[in-house]
Amino acid sequence: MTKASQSQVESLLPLSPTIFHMLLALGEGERHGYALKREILQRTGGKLNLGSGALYGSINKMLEQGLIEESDERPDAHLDDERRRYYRITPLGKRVAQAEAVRMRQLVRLAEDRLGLPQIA
Amino acid sequence: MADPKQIYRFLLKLYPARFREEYEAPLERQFRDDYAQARVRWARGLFWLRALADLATSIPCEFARELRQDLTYAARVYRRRALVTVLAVTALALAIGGATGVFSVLNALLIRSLPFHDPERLVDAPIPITIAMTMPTGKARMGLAVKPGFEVATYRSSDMNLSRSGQASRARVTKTTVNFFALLGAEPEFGRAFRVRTARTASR
Repeated sequence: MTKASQSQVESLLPLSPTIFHMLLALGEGERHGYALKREILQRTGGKLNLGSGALYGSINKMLEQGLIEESDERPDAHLDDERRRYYRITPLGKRVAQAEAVRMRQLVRLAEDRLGLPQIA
Repeated sequence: MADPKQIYRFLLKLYPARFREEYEAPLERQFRDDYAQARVRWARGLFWLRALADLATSIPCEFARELRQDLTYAARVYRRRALVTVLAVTALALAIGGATGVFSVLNALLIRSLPFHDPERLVDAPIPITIAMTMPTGKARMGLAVKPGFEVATYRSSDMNLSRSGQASRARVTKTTVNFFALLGAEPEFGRAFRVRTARTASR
């Protein structure tokens, strides 16, 4: 990774939990907005329930930052509403999500050293 | 009762136009899907509360984002065309300075009221000096007809020679009735205004 690219990634950190979760969900494949909301709600056990404004506001921000892009591909019309817009993660978005995960890992390690974390059951 | 979707569609108009054009349809669709899932009354009430809170937080965010984008774009354009920017800023500065100057003069001369108590009730009436100077307290005396609630103060200006330590100078001197400052509701710049006792002493 070039120095300019690295600084671009670092300038976007830390990510908000919403954007990090959205990038994680898009890391698995293309999603439309409502699917992202449902997946995040399910993954966080109902703790992160995004309202429509927050959801599409975050999508708008991520598009602006180049973390995601709109996908031209559409599922078959009989499988889904063809008017829905699908989004996919960009290479920059993937690098930013990875960098955020590394940052969080370092934070967890620090917490383990300082506080001693209980084992996950 | 009004259709909730219509109410929500109306509320979406509060978003910035660019955002609304882009996301109005998915926002409406998501609202419709979520609203359909809230079947009982309390769930719908809760849903509305959440929707309103979401709008209240996301609308200012979108406006701030639009503003930031516009400012960034403007800064980029101005930086690229430095000469035009300098000329525009200079023209603006001159125009603002000029307008401010003209307004200051107009404000002082025409708009701002005189620095007196009830200036709109003041009348400067030319009265023969012989009558005016016979009213030491300014009250209606000597046959001058003044309605109850009105008061008269008189003044007369003249130039005089003042000398101090052998040096003479010309000064503008104004004689007034004792109520002059009280009637105007103004205080002298230096010293104190007249007192009624001063007038009584003077009139003896």
